[in-house]
Amino acid sequence: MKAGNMDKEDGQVELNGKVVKKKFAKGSKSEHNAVYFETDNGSYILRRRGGNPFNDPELQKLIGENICATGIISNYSFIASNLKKIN
Amino acid sequence: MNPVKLIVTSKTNLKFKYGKKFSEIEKLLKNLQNADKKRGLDTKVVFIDDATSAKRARLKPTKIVTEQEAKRAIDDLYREYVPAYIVILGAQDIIPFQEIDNPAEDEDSSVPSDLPYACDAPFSRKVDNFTGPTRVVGRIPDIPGQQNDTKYLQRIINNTIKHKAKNPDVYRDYFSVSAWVWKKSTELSLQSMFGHNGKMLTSPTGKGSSNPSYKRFTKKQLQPMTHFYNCHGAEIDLNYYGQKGQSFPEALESDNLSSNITPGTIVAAECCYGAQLLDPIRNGLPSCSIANNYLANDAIAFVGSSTIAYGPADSQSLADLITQYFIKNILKGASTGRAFLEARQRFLSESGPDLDPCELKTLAQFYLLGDPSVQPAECEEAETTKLTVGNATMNSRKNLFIKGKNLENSIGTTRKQNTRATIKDKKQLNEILKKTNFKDKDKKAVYSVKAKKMDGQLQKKLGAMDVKFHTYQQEYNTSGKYFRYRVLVVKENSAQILGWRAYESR
Repeated sequence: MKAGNMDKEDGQVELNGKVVKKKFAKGSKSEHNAVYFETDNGSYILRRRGGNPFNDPELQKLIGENICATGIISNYSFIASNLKKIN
Repeated sequence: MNPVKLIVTSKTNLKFKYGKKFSEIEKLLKNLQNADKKRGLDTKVVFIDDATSAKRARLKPTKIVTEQEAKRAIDDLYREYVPAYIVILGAQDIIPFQEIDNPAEDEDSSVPSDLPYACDAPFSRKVDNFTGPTRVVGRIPDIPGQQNDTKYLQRIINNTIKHKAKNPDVYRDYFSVSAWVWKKSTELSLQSMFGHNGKMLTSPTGKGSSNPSYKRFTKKQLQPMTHFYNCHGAEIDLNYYGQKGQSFPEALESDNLSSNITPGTIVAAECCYGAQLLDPIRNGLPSCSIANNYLANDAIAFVGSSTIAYGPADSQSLADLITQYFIKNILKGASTGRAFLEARQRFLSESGPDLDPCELKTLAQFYLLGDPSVQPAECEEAETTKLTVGNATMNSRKNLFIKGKNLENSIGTTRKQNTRATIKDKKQLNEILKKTNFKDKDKKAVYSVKAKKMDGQLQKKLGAMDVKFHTYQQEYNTSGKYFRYRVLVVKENSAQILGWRAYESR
């Protein structure tokens, strides 16, 4: 996936990448599928601005899709203000 | 001689943020100085980057207010005045937090902290250089980012001026919300602080839908003057969250606080990121963080965490302890600043002398927001102390200084090891792993704690003093959206396993 525009003036970045599931704590009682945004710039936990950071069904629908997302990167999260599927 | 209260801030950063309205802040600080004088405090305002102000305070001014320079300036001022209270005025874009290297194995790259400002040790990013807090420090924040007016600071400072110590009984009435999964731990905290836990609310309630839509708390529900939260929190987010199974409903929305808080309320939040100060504009948020909003709505003090915090689900440790010690000290009649310094010292005293990585992170990540010289509750005990000791504040500071120095001299130095040393007692280890649902293949790390040298003969008789902490970490995901952590810490010396604890991120 190609990285998008990293230099938006308002501190937001636009990145292209793929939404994927990844397993955490494999084999443990707490094994779960996580939603990640994998980009050339790095791999982030994907959140939607204003969405429940722990339980956002809209993001589940995007698993497996390539997307273009605009948002802010903080620590390990990509908090998207805009998400759109791309071919 | 009256005790000194030192207000430290940056003229350049305030002027950049508030422009011509900076003069309103100068006026506010003058009002605060006058009000403090009436209650026996000698309040000095120092703009650490202003040549005139710095010269008056016998301080070498900072050219740029970096973390290192802010720390140096506060250390120099402390040595000059030995203030009873240090107030940092402004959010992190006025006077920066000290970014501490994260001692825990989670995703936080660093830990924004005010702990170093409370310690005599020089600038460093290593938390175990700051295990001897001696100073009373609090931060009066503003809202990070560009501001059009000074209303926020006006409100906080005017509330500080207006506050009169109240009968402690008003602070014994509490409002508390716990994530359903942590209700046992919260019950223990409430029992310890208030002698009962009958008023605890859980999120979700445990009845009806496990994923209910948010029901706003009424003004009447929020009326009690002590608020205590043991919930989830997330970075750059305006809510706290509950949990039951895979359901994470909103437990508190920031805008629910508006016009609903009783003036003088104190708050302690165990939540991850519970005290974060956010720039709403930069982060595209509709309002300010819960911590900022509590103070905007007349709370007088807020203690919470900057980052991912930890505690056990069914017992008491880490975030549970530092928050409840703070409240208990308030109920005894301490100022908010002394209550928090004593909470830090007690946390170190109870957790030490060997601190595991989660304990070190807890020490660094919790900070006090609000003027530290405010005394929420008056107590008969405090009055007696004043009568018998005379200058109670300075006597208390001397005692806290000595206690902090003793802690500094007794808490061991924790260092992460590069080698993968294994635990010798495999049988006992396997029993612990089984009991706590961890696996030997979970992410591991080893930390060695070098004990401080004391009496060599006695140290030998007491057995090996240097210990190791072996951590096992599970990084799991709740409904596939967000990191949570479980950490098992096993403590051993050269001969045997000494104990273990399991923590969960808040």
